[in-house]
Amino acid sequence: MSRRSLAIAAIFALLSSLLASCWDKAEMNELALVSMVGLDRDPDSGLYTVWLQIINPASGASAQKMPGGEQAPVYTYKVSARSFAETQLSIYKLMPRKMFVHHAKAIILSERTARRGMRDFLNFTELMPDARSSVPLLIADGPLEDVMHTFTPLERNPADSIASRLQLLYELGLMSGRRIEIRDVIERSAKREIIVLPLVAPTARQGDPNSWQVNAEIDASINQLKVGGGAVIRDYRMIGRLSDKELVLYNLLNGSRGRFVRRYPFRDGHITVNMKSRRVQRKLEWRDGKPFVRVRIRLDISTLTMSEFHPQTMEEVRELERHVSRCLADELTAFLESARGKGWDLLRVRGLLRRKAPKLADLDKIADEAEIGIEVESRITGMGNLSRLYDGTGGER
Amino acid sequence: MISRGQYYLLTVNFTLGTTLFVTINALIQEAGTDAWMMPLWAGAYGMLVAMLWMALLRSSPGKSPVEIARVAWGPAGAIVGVLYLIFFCLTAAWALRNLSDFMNVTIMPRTPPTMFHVMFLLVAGYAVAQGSETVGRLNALVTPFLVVSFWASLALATAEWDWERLQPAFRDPWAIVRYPTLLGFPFMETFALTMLWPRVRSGAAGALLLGLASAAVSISLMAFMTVGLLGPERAARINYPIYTVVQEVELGQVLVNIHSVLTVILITLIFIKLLVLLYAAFETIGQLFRPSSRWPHLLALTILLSAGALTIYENPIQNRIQTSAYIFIFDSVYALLIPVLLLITVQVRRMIGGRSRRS
Repeated sequence: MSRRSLAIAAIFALLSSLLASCWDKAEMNELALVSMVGLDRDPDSGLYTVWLQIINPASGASAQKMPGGEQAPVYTYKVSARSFAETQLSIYKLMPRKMFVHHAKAIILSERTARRGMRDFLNFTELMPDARSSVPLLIADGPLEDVMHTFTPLERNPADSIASRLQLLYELGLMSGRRIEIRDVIERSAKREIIVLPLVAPTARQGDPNSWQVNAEIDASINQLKVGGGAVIRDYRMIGRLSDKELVLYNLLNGSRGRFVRRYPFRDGHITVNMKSRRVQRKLEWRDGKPFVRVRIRLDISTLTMSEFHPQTMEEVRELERHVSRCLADELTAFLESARGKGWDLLRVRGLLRRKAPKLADLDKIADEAEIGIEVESRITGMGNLSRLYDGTGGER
Repeated sequence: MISRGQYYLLTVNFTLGTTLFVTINALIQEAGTDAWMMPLWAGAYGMLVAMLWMALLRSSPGKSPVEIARVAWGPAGAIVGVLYLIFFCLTAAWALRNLSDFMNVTIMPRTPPTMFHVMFLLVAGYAVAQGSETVGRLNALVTPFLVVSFWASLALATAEWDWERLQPAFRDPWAIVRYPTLLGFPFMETFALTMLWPRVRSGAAGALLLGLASAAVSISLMAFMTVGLLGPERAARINYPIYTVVQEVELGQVLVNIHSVLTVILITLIFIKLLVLLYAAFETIGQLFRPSSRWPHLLALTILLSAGALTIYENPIQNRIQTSAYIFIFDSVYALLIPVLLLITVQVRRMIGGRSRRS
């Protein structure tokens, strides 16, 4: 080789040190993929505890078929320190791979931390350029340690299991909302509006619930996680709870579009109605100098779940539509009344006023005084597979 | 130009179209075990009405009813043409909605109905733009698959057959009088097929009559089998009894899910019905307004029909009520009243014309 080509080779070799990935390289095999994060702060000692659930790369379907191949789908690491930054470092006392949080599917806060305020944590995540804020934030209803140490059957990764359940609850039952992510909490709290986050609770424990045990147990309701109910958050703080039933109404009022089921008294019995919200409009009007919030809800209802009564004539159809509309409107009004009694602005009247009447001086006071009128319009559009019900005496009524 | 055989198959499939979805349950509710007799009477009536159309079409060879109306009545004939356009569009929108209802109730509850409407219309529109030959050949191509798989899946269901369900028999042979809807839908709706008449090479009359007869016998057989397999009590209440029949087929431990086959057959049949109606509407526009371009008005029809399908009725309950209250009268105006008036006009004109020529 000539001297000249040697020189060129040497120059290229030196130039390669300018390539950025020499410093910031990230190898898949050297990363710990975080799938779920748990966070707690002990109010007495001020000590932060962080649980990190790391996906076990060797727990795929192929690994399970190997002899002794039953492995935990995730490993939970737990560290405590005075600050978040310190917990991030001391995790490496236990964990041999570099933490990669971008993949996280759920963040869970303990209830006591949520009640005292989550602002510091939110500031910390937003500061971190590698942390994603579009992750659902949940509140643990029960000991967080238990939540982070629970495997879920069927969907083996607990974070996937929770994310999937939130989606199903939203689509099929309106028992979860679209706005439950970290960024939504920040946005709503910064505007001093209310947000409702889902709750997750460990179910009854029995025996030693390791991964093998969970997969071998037939009763899928024990040693499990349960998603349900809502935590009301205002100003980065949890201030109360909503039941599943109230959660549906809250999500409906806040424009979520999904199906849900309601049971109302009808004629001399009950009727179970399957509904789908089509459109929710909130309009601000002024009556005698006072704000009036008109909420219009359009619903499609279906005879699919009406095993008690099936309308046959247009008169019966209209009667049923009117009845369902009235029942739901009454229910919503009562729900908003009770929430306002607690000082919760679940309809977010304050935000509406801020947008539509930005010059108002005393926003909070006027928002409290605002009248609310709820109008529900429902239409029967769908049906089940029967055109008439079987009649006979062997049933209720 | 399409052949006699293709015209026959179009007639059969058009008549079966939505009928197999919507009416079987209503028939059985009306006549119970004797439901199978109703389609036979209705089919005979349909053939009679078809003979009336034939008399009209033969009086002016090579012309469709819309053209005959224009020649016979002048500007008023153009209005009749527009009325026929509305008739074809309404019937097409109605068939589309029946289709999306069926799909939403049975296997795809979350798909928006408009999705079904628009997709069907786009494909049908493409076929129609290619002309009557494409319509005829397409139908002839799919029919063997439909017939074989349809009767095969029903044959599998006959394991559950019970003659007791069909008794007592011959108790109510004239139930058709209480339910004249069946005369209108599907039999008078076949008027749309007369728009294809000038395109049939020869022997269209026999094909149309035979087609109506075959369809009537098929519907009758379907009603008979549905009662024999489900019993009049269940069949009268279940919205889509044929689907349920096939859904309940269990062939040993292996074949338990063949109802999706039936779904494909039923939606293809509806597609054929839509295809003919869209062709009729397209031809009517062509003959009335003579547009210079070939397809842009098909897009307009797509938009019109997909919107019409959503608004034609609020819910299946209203559909039922509307069908039994108005369909017979509605169809009679278009398939009976206007053709009779046209025929009289044509004959009277011919008589006057003949007399003046003689004198």
